[in-house]
Amino acid sequence: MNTKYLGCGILTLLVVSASACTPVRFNERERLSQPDMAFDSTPLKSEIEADVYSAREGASGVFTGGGGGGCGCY
Amino acid sequence: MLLTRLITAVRPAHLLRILTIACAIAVTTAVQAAAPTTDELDSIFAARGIVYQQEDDGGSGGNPTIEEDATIYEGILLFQQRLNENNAASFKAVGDLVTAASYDDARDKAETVSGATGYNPGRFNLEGRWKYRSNSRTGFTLHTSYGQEYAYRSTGYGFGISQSLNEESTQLSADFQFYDDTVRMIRYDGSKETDEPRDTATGAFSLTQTLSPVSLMNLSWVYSRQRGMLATSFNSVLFDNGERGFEVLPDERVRNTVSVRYKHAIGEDSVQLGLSHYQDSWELDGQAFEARYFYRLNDGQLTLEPSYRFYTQTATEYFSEQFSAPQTYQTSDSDLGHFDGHSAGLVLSYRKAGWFTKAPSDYDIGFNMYRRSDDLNFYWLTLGWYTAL
Repeated sequence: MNTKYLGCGILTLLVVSASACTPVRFNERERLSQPDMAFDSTPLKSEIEADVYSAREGASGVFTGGGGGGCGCY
Repeated sequence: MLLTRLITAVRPAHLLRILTIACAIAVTTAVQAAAPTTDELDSIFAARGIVYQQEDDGGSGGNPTIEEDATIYEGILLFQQRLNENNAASFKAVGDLVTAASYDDARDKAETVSGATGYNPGRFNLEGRWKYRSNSRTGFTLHTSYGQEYAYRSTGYGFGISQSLNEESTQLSADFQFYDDTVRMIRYDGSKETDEPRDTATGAFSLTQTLSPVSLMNLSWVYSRQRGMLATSFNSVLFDNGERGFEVLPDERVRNTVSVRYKHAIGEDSVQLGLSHYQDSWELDGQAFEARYFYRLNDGQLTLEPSYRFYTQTATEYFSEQFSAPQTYQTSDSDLGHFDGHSAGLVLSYRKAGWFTKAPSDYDIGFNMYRRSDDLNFYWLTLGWYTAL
């Protein structure tokens, strides 16, 4: 399957799924506000890890926003 | 210039698709829920270092006809200054020292055979970024970068837009990056040809949605198109008669990656799961699965983060370890071959105020090992420091 269409499909699916979420009130967010509950909360940590993976794997942009370029390793 | 590049990089059909998705996402602005955010405009300083070691099992790992041992030392510094309530500026510097068998060999021969000299012994990259966020939580970023290594120069620029909705419960973002790079045509045999361009345009779209008081998820789609000299200039292929030839690859590569990540709190701890699918126009498919556990001790002052990642990819149609005769496109780069990869790591993080700054700082040390099914294995050690200013 062409990944572009897969991407569109998953985005649409998530959008639909998200619209069905139960409301989370402001006073219910205490646990969510902890640093470990954020994706990529520590600056540079995910970035340097993604650099390692994308340099030694054929794929790029896995779990991150980078798509190649900027380095001879891609 | 930027607009021209965007228009040429994204065909009308793709643009229409992107706009369709943007509209679909916009429709969901009525979605409720809540998500945590740290203030991304705060003044911070972060430093991170990595020591990377790659071993090819005495020459038999990866592609057995190529030496692939490598050692890399990399350091990154990030300084961000809040300018006012709505603006911040940041500067990032990256420096690498590289010792790689194929890289060193090509460089040494180039300096001997063709007199080609250049920046030694590694790579550097500088990046400036400006961030704006309105009171209605609309964000805008602009960034530019310049990087240089022995056989490569890169000039990058880009912009991003983001929007937080429903009391920051839903976060949408779109980032666009453009790289106008130059490949120095240093060949494996030391010969040097005229420099060639490599252009990259990337669009990254992300949606983070809180699902419950203890869970959230993130979905991303990265679309990238590269044009120009996409082979590694100093890579070679081996023919059956013992002679070698240049790596030759198509001058266009379209890459798509979709990833979904899910995070769930389990009491004081939390777990993060991720799945990703990659596909490109060179017929290389990749899938990744990742699991992380955040084990928090002493009310979060100490965090242990064990992780596991599985990755598998098919070989690009142009890959072979050895060729019987020259092909239109040919590569023996093991990173473009078939392999499975298992990666495991452990990060220890410690939060404390007063050592170097009065503000709370995060210190971390981590170790990862990656074992590939083609016996090209690597390890890396990271040290990090992050503090508010």
